[in-house]
Amino acid sequence: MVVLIIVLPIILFLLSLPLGRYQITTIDVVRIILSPVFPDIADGIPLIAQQLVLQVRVPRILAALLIGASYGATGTAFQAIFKNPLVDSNILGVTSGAGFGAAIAILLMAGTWQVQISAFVFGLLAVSLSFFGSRLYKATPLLVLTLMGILVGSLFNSLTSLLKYVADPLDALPAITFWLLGSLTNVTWNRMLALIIITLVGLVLLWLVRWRLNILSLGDQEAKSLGVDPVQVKIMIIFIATLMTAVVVSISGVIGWVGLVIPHAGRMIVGPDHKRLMPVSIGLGGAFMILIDNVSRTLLPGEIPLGVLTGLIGVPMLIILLRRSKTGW
Amino acid sequence: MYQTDIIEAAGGISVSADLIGFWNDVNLEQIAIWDPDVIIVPPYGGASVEAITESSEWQILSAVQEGRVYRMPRLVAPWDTPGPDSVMGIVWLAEKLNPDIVSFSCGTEAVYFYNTFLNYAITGEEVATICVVD
Repeated sequence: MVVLIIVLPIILFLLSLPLGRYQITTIDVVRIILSPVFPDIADGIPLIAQQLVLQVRVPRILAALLIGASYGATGTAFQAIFKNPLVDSNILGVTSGAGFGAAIAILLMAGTWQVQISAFVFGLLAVSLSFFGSRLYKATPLLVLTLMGILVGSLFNSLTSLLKYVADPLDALPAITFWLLGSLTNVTWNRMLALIIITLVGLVLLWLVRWRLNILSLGDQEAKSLGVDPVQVKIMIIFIATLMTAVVVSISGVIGWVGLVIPHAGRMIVGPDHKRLMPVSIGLGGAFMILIDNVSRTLLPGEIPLGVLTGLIGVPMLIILLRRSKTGW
Repeated sequence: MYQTDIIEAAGGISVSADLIGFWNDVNLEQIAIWDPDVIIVPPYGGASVEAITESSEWQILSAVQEGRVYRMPRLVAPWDTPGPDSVMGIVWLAEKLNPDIVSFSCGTEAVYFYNTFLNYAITGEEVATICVVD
């Protein structure tokens, strides 16, 4: 079962390649995909189809896979360390910070690259504020950290609203609004390098600490007596997950709910043991995001914002999952 | 939307006329299906002609191959937004789309428009940068 779910996104990736607004037959897609290895195999296929498959579809579907996998893994890790089934990696304000970073870059007329970097930096800044802010208090660090995350998130949301208020309604405002809705329209190979590296390294690291998540979800006292330093492990996981989420948000904009819903779906299938739940969440997240993005990019001539789709599909899914879930978390 | 009307008034056909809503997010595959003869880039929203012409992904479009990617001018306001200047947007675009058919030129009309309606003496330099003849 676990192995099947891990290969699921890879199968969906291949099945999604023939899908798109531009009609390309499955046989042609297969020939185009093989063309970097066998140069002559794609002869006779219009150049436009070759370019669309290799330069547009492959990077975009790969990005969807990585983003979904990233949200699945970070959501699982955060739910474990916060011992709370209703959090995901956004709880410390990374998305709100990134949204503000993107908005200010758009307002300053920056190009795509600068917007991506600004979103990344402000995402990290927001989490740093939550983290170091919570250190000012001595009592129950996890609770204060959660509270600080919500506060910092709200603060950055207010700042983003302020920027939207002063933005030119013909110019920066629609750009900011679209960014906050989430989209993969702009994904190209040269924008994906950071996403590929950070996500793959992060996924491997979170997969390696999966058994420690079991110990952490027992509580700090129990973790200590089992020889795991809970604070150190938590800080490390928060750091990894924040980097992963910041890079995802910087490339795709705000896509909510995936990190929250996927771990619940995973628990339905394999139960709460993180040794199995972590790989399953990675697989399910990747698969879910590919499916959502397929709808977004193919259904209508204009794209349907990803953040809207994940909310419309994710919330009812969560309601059903919570109702049927018997396994606990 | 307003830009669709400007394109139609200038004698063109907007490929995106049927889209629902105003500002739309459209992917490159859909643009490849439309494969427009001309692409007009707005003078706002962080858009630029170079972002399109220098991108390897966009080279598949005929408009990019034939160098027909233009930036909508702006002087007092962008020439494609709902304001008096948009009349000049129609003039400019008509000349860009059908230079052999139209009997007016962007330069002359711009001098007349800004002098008459906005009481603004447009300089020769401004005319030269806005109404680029290619």
